[in-house]
Amino acid sequence: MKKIFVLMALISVLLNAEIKLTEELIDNDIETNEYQLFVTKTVDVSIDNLKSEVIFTGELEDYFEKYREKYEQDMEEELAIIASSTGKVLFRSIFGGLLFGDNSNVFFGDANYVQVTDYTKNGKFVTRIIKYIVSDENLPKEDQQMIYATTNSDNYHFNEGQAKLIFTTDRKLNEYKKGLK
Amino acid sequence: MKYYLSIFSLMTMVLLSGCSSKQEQLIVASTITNYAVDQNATMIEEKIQTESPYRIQTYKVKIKDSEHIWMLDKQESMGVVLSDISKNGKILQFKASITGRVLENHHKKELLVPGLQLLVHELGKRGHKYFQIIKPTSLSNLNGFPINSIAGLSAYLSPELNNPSEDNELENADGMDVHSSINSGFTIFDDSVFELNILIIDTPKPYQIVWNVEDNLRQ
Repeated sequence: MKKIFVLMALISVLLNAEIKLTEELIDNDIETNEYQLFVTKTVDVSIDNLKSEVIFTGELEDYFEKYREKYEQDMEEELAIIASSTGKVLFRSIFGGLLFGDNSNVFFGDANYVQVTDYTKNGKFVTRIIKYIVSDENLPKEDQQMIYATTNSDNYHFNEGQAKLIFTTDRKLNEYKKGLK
Repeated sequence: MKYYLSIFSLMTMVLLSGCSSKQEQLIVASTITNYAVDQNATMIEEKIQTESPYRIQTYKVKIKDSEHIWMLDKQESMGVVLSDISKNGKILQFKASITGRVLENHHKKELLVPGLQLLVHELGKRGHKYFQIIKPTSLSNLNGFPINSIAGLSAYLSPELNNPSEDNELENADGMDVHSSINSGFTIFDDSVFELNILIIDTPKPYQIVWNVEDNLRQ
């Protein structure tokens, strides 16, 4: 019971915590008043001592296009298995519009940007980190770069110079949380 | 002044989170606990289709005093179905509808998180570790959508609940949605039913964006 209380307290602290932004982010006049930053790591391993390479920076939609091409090549086998198990009609309804349809009308309204970084060890792929900005206004490239460059594993909501932590993908913190349960 | 404001906003947050989690629990409890039926839920249909191994169970969930959260009339009820929709058990579907009513976008937003919690619990019970959202398309990880946690998706869908700026609350009270893309994203789907489909992933490829069942059970 005690553990549950501690965990609840920790989570509430995390959810309500004000986070410290770097001076660059606060001092510079960013085009937008409000944005959210989400950080996704495909394989949850430490990135210490790994070589990093930014493979994509730009709009989310363009990344989808790039990702889709590669996905279709890499997942051909899996998609075929799913298609044979679900029947063609169902397959088309689920995947047809998804892989080959037009996704461009889905994300209008806000500006969506991603930076995708691959981490390798001895030339072998280890994990990928995707930083995803959802902004109320179009952001110039310099602003995007500044956000990418000055953040680590925190997911936060920025509004008019203030920021709130949504959650963190920090491994140590997550391990601590796991240890409590 | 600021001190009082922050206390007030904290209390509002506590109230809001209390209400929403109660509703979420209601839906989740009525469908996942061994598909048991609690006092608020009645199972109206259970069938095993003869031609296929699909198991479909349908519950009618009456939600009391829920006008403010689900925007339902007291007479209305919500049907929630969790089913395997593929023969190999690789695709799970959460489906919800409200009797005789078109689902508004805010219904769908509110259904998404409890739906995901339900699916995550079911996957945990079955011993699966990873999955991807494949429907709604606007949130499809199969397509490359980057968010893969319940906390992140909640914040993405309802940024106003997590707004760090007090000034902006007035703007939201006037009905301005902070991220309008979510509403537009859902308008391309069938309006009477909300469907959330996930694909179970056994061994994710290193670059695949997958949801971790265990991590999300804790959120």
